[in-house]
Amino acid sequence: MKSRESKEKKSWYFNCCKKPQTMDSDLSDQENYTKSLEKLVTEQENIEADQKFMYDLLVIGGGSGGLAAAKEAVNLGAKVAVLDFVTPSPRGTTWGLGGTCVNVGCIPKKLMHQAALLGEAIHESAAYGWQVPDPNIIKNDWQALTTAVQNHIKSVNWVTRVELRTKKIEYFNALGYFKDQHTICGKMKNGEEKVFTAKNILIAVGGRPRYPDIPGALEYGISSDDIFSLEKAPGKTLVIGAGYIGLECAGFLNSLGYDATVMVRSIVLRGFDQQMANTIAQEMERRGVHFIYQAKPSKIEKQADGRLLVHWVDKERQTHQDIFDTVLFAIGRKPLTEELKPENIGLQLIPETAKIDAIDEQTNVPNVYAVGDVLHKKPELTPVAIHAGRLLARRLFGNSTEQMDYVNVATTVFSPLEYGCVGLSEEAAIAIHGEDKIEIYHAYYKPTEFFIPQKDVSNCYIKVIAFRNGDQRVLGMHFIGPNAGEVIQGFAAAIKCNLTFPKLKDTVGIHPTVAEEFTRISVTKRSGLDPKPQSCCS
Amino acid sequence: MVLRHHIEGYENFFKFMKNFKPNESVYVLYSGKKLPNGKSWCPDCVEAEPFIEEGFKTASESAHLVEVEVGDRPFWKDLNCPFRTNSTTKLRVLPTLAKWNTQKRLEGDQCQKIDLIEMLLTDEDD
Repeated sequence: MKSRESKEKKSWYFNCCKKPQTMDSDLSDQENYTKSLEKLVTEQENIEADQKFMYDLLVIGGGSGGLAAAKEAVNLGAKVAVLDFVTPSPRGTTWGLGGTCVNVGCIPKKLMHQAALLGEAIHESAAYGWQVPDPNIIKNDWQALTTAVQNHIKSVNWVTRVELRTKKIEYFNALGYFKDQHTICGKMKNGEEKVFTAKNILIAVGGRPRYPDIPGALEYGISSDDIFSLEKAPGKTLVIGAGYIGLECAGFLNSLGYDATVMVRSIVLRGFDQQMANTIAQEMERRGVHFIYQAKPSKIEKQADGRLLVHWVDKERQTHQDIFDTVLFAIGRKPLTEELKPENIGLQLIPETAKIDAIDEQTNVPNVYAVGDVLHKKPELTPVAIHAGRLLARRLFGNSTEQMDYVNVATTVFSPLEYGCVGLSEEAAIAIHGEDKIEIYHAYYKPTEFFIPQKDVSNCYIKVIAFRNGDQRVLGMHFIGPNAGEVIQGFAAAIKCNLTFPKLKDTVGIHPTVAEEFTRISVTKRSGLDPKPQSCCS
Repeated sequence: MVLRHHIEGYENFFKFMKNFKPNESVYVLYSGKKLPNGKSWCPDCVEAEPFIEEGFKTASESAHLVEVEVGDRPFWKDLNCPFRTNSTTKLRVLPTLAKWNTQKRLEGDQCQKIDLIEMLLTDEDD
């Protein structure tokens, strides 16, 4: 069962409000004839029916995916409205239009990571001849950093508002939920409700951080929703959770001069190549981030001095405790689908995760679509949501048939030493194709610019996974080192073009770069040869 | 009607802005210095004028509009012009209509759109 939509691939104008699809498709010829007559009439009626909806498309959620779909839809002539509302975090943080990425995700994270890299560069610069007074007395001013970051975010919020207004997309600061499959109620800040009707509805509400059910978590904990606008410097911080958000936060906090500890329940960077994940953790540990493995927090208490006493349990069920200034939960995110009152339209959710199992972004309710972090088993990444939203709008309003390809999407973890990857992990490649069918190439390398400041190169490591036989198509590429995102993006395009290992080897590198290491890779894991570089360069 | 103020030059501007309390609604219109004929040397500023007049008709009585003449053409065209490099004003375009102490601003021909001016005046989020 492929697309639910393909049956109705005619002009979008005619298939709003279509009769509920029933299971009894075994109709007699006579019935078919009557049906098709009825259909003609219905299509005529639908033209008028369209007038009764306020919008062609109503988007719930003004984040990356929702806004991309809205903009594309108006460009194609549709009448569009966007509802966006940020429920305050448990500690009271809110933000403006634009969604997670802009306000409490990719953007502030990348800026704080950049702040961390600059701090590192100040220390290195002395080795390159810069007369830095005393690098050890150089401190980061948390207030100055958060103000700069927040100002950037606010200017993006505003530019987004201006863009929507200019494009004639109606924006409402309201929390939307379903009344019926064409009607959305929007609850405004003042409690008033406004009713919207639309032919098509796009769910793009994204998700928010989860909190564990332990005493003190909601009262004293914070999350990625709060860290980027925290009024006071975080101080000694415990990050609970070792997904990419946890590692990135612990990474930049440590680099900015705060004592940072990561509490890992089971494994680091679940879903990522585990050899690469452990290398990243190792590198962070080398830089001073503490790791507590196989531990679960059990209680957070506020002491008289305002600091937080955290209790946790290890795998032997031993309890431990330590004092922190800040406890940041990064244990996962939950989609905001329950808030939509899905029961009112019979919208099906995956019971365990409350996510939406859409087929080509279409939910089980034919005129209701979904993009972004609410989608079941799809990468929770801004560019994925944007691309899916844009393609969906083109299919709805531009007669396009192009579908979103969720495979081979590259991503990067902005840990202090970054990790970029595209395609399969080693584990996934072995599980899918079998160890005999694949070849794993790997290499350690030494970035040229690391020599003078004597930076540690022990975790600069790359890996290429390819078919062993046939065309030796490349299945996955993994890179740990500086500028990993910039390195991996181009290779992602190559993989999209069916890059083969011989083609990779036939590519001439750019010297001296870190990306060229992929063109030099030759040692296979199977050979057992040392993947460490023999000499300094070339 | 909005309370209007008129200022010329960089130092004067920053000195003048100290008069306002943080909770006041202050809007700043940055435009090119006026020529002897009473019109700014910057044609886009001249074009925006009637729209800004119109847009501000509905502004609250307690709101302030500070019209600042940043300088003559060579002063503005210099990429080191202090209005450009200052981290608060960080001007890129003339005219710019900004809400003081926020990141909200309309640049260039955005100042000729009544609904954008209205949005700048009424938007409550910061």
